[in-house]
Amino acid sequence: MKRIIGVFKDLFKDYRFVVAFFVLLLLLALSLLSSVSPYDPTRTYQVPRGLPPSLEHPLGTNWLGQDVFWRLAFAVRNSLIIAVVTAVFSRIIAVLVGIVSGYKGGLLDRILMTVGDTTMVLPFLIVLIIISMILKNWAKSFFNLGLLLAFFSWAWDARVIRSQVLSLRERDFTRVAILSGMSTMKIVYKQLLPHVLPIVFTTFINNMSWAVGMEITLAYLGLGIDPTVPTIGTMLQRAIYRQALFLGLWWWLAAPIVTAVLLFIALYWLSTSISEYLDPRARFQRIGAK
Amino acid sequence: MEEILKVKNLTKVFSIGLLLFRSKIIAVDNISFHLRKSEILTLAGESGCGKTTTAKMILGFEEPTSGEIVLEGRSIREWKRERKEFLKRVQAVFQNPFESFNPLLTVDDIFFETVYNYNLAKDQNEARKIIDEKLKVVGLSLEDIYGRYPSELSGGQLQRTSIARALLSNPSLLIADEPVSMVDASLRMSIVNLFAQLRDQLGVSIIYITHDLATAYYVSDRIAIMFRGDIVEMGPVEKVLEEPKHPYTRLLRSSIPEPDPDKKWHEDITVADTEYEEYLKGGCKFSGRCPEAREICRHEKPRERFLEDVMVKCHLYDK
Repeated sequence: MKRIIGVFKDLFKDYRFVVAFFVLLLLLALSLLSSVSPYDPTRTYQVPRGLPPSLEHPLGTNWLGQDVFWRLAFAVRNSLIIAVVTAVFSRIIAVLVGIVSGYKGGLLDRILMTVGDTTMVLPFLIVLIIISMILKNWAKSFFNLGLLLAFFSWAWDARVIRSQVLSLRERDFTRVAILSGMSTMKIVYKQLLPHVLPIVFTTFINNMSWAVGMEITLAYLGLGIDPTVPTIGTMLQRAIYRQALFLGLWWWLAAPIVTAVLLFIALYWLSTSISEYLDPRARFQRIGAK
Repeated sequence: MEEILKVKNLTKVFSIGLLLFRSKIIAVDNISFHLRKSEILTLAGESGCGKTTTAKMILGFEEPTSGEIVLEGRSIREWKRERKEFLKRVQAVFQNPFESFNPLLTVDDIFFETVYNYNLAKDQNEARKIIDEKLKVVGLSLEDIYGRYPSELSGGQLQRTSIARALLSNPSLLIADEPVSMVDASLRMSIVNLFAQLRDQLGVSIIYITHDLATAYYVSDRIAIMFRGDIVEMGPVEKVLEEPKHPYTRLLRSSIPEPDPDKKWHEDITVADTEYEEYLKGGCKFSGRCPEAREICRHEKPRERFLEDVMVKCHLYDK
């Protein structure tokens, strides 16, 4: 516990982490708030339409008679769920594939890397469009959409992890670990995994922001999940589709855009500050070796 | 005296390149030697002569292309099934002390790992005692390294720590791969003395790999001079280094600078071949640089000849 507090103390010396931390905390609170929402997010015409922001409706209401604030709460929650599902599954695949093919090498390495390269060179936007057209109902669930995105994003990071493991495997300390009688499994999780974790953490967050971006792209194209279910992407798509600016309802359009930008910046700063913290050399350079 | 390690016709061939451009490097070419109990054998030679590859093959990190390695009467292939037992008997110290420890783990971690993995201690207290005991051998104590990261210790401390770790399982064979080349001169002697002490007091056999003939002369019992994967001269260290028989050994000896300002460190060798050509030479591999090369040297491989107890591979000693 004391160690965790120490870690946070060190991290809070970086302004980027502080900003990212509070922005994410805010968005997280917003998404938790969705569980006490007075309105059903999928139903329309529950409030007077086209009201500007006020005390009663903090972000106004849209042309479909929905409260933008409460819709945004649901949108942030759903987008974050998609992002986390994508990141968790793609990290699990990436770490397993990266370590196995890096440490074992040989034929298995070649097979795994060929599969990975194949998913990498496929034009995934087109493939995602085709898949979400064919499996329309399947891809409408945002958990399934997360899995789909995970399948297209593990390969690059698996390669990065593999290359790291390839070089770690040849370093003397791995040999010393073998000489100390450690089993292969133990070498992997005790000697190699700590070196791989910074990659996992930063790519986890980067992968999350990629997933949010992909979800927005797919929703904007009218694919992916059900447009009545609020996500950042579907909110944006609806606002544009219904000519929010032409109707003068700028808050309808601004809410998802500002949220998305904040989310992207926060995730990016979080990933850079954490990766610098986890690399002891970079940490000493920045905050000074005290 | 009993032989602890026997190496017979050991060969390692590396293939480089792809498909049509494939070529071979014979890193270790048909070498044989043995090591007795509590003896220090030096493997010396220039870089790329196969010293480290030999060490890696003995440790099992590289698979030999052909040949036999026998430890305590059992072939290394038989030992494969009991790798842990094997590694308990054979330990190694590597060249770079900063690389020998995981920078993300504390130094003591690998000590406790070694103790528990080889079942050397039942509980934490006993483990601490054993570790402390071995660290005392190298002039350190557990307090000095406990909870420290490798970056917090000096190179000399780390190298001694690395030796102490290798000693934990009471190995019968210690392979020291250039253990002093990264350590500064003042510490070099203390580490080399430590090896002599290990041999005399604990009866450890040591393969001491180096390119530094001065420390080799000081510490070892026998020496094997390697050149391009081949042992060209092997025998008691005094005989080999005081009256070198092989032209390459002479060259190595003359390349030790003498602390005399009047003596110029002259160079009378010309490098005739590229390294790669030397590896593939049909006859004596040294013939391109040898001042005494004759016609036969270029065509025929010299065979082993024994001049008393010194083995030498050179056509100079053909009868």
